[in-house]
Amino acid sequence: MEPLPDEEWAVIRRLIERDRAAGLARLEAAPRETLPRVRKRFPLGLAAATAVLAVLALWALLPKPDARSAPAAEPRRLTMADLPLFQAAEDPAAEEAMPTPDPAWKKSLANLLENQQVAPPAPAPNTEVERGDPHQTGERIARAIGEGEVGRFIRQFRQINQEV
Amino acid sequence: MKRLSIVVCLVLLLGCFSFAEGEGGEAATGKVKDGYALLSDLTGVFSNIVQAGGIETAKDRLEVIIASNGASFAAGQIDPIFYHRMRRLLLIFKLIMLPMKKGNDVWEIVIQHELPAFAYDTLGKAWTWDPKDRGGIELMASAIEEEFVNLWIYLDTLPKRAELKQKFHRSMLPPPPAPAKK
Repeated sequence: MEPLPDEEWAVIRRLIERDRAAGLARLEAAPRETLPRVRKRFPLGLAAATAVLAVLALWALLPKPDARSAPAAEPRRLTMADLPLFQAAEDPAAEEAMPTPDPAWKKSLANLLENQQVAPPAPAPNTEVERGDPHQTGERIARAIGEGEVGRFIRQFRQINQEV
Repeated sequence: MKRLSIVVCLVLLLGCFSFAEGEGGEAATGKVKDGYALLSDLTGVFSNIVQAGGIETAKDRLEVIIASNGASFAAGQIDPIFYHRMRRLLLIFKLIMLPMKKGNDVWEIVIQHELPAFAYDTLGKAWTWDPKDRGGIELMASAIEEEFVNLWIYLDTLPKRAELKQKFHRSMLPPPPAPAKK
């Protein structure tokens, strides 16, 4: 295909220009109402579903009538009495249902409690026990601390050990 | 020849036994004492240490206290808690008194383990073993002093502790286990 000469191109360009100008003139002369409107179509089902969900959410967020009428109470704190162990201890029926203690366990508990007694077990009759005076012991400790005897003692031995 | 070798073996065995007895025979014998007496004795280890022969006296006194601590526990005069803490304090004293060869002594392992642990348990502070560190010596002295006070207060509060323990045991023990079904 051979290219068209410039003169023919000029004719074609003039024809296009003329058609364009005529089209623009027609468009400006036409009334506005006659222009076609572009409408966005929204699916009706989706709109209905959104509305239903919104209503449900609003209903859930609103306080309930009984909650609104009742006075605001502080949340109850759990106490030791709420534990099943103590509940069982307070309930006579549950207490009866509780298993009876094992005699061996009771004996070991009694031994344990006996070991916590203040008085130490009595030594053999022929054993001589030397008892210290609590007040005097406290005074000796206070003197040792106050006069820095412990520090002096450690330094002394450190020095000896270094010499060794 | 056989008889001769048997006799030589017997003589050697007897020699070994007598040597071992000699080593153990020097062990101090302890008296049965209560906790206050033991603590009071331990404070006496420091006195007169600078005098002539003071070091040897201190070592002898410590050995006697160690023996007394064991004897008192065996006789039931001190409870396991006091016995153990006193024993640990005595170990610290003994480690401090140990004459050591610098850098190649096996006791170094024990010292590096026990002394920092003791300082950390009593004061909550880290302690490192450096003979030239004056602050380290003061820190160890503070730890020992703290333990002295702790043990003294422990003895003073024993009746109250026993009361509380009994009270707690009564109210807080879980229900006893069910007897085994035969």
